[in-house]
Amino acid sequence: MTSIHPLFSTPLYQSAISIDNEELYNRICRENFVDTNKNVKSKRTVNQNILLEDSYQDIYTEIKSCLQHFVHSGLKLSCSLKCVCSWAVLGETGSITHNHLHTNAVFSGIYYVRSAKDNGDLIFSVPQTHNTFCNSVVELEPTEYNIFNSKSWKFVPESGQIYIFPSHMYHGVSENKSSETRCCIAFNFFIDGMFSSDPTSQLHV
Amino acid sequence: MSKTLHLLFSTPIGVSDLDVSTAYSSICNEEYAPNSDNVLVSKDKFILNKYKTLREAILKEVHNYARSSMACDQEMRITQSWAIKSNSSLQFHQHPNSVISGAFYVNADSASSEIRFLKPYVSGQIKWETNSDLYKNQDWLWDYVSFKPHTGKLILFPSYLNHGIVSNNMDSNRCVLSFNTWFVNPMGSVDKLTFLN
Repeated sequence: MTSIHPLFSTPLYQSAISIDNEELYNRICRENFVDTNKNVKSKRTVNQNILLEDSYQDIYTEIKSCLQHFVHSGLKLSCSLKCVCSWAVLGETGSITHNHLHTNAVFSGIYYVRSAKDNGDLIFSVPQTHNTFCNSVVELEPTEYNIFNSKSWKFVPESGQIYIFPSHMYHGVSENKSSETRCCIAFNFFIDGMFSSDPTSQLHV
Repeated sequence: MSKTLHLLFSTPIGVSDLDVSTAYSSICNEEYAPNSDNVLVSKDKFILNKYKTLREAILKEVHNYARSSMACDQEMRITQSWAIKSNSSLQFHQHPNSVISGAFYVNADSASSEIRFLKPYVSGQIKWETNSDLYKNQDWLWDYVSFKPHTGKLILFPSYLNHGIVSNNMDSNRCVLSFNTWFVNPMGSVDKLTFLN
């Protein structure tokens, strides 16, 4: 039998949450928003710990359940995690979120409260300097892109979908080409308590 | 007790000035067409074949750079060369299939936007508040370094290094010639099983 093994890949969790998203959207719209610094036609909540508010306990519980599934069942990690930052984003028509990563976090994620086709694709990428199927000096051009030969990968998010990924993973959102506003909740988690049982790499936070 | 801070594993950037007494301004008058990012790029992607004096001057600097930064005494050749005329930003990119790349400013003035090089490895996943007075003198911490252009300036860099231009939209006169290089002769070593012809 012949196989191609995608060794040393970067894991990305994708799932769906069953919740009344229209009601959640209306709840979010009652928050105070500010323009984001870098991104065009995007607004984020002033509150950067939105998931820790009592009024968002329902979605927070669901997100934590997904994170546990990813981190504990999928990645086989036993560490405790705490939500260190969470905010809602409204991406109006024409909005673009440039490629970025989340600092001071271990796992990050996005829950789509309202999103459909043309609302902006979620695009993950690795820097060109990151060696994958070929090194960064030599560029080989595939005749067709697949999971083995791509340095960027896009998803078309739908309402109710959640994506969780390592915070160092670059991501961005393409232009919202629809007349509908996209709404999502972004969040960062960090280790809570002890890192590592190895005495040379322990850290308590 | 003496203390030394060793700046290990740095990235060499070569900056020099070419003699521009020979006018190369006709490069600005070549035929240009907008690319997918709406940047005006010369239609001729081997433009240095027409400017032999400039090509030889650049190759001399490439050779000096290869000797002093790569311990490489091999002859290099320019593979592709093209000019960009733009007052807009240039997205960050690398030059694959090349060893040393360069930018030669055919025309630039004090309003011309700087070329910006990004740190070649991912960092900044843990961020702390920095002291601005200390930070400005610790360039190894910087996420990018910019170089201000002027007419005749040649900047050489490893082709893998990400670079781009963040435009101020004022530099309508900027015209820069870019190029890639490769070895003339076979590279590597037969004994080390790295030979490539």
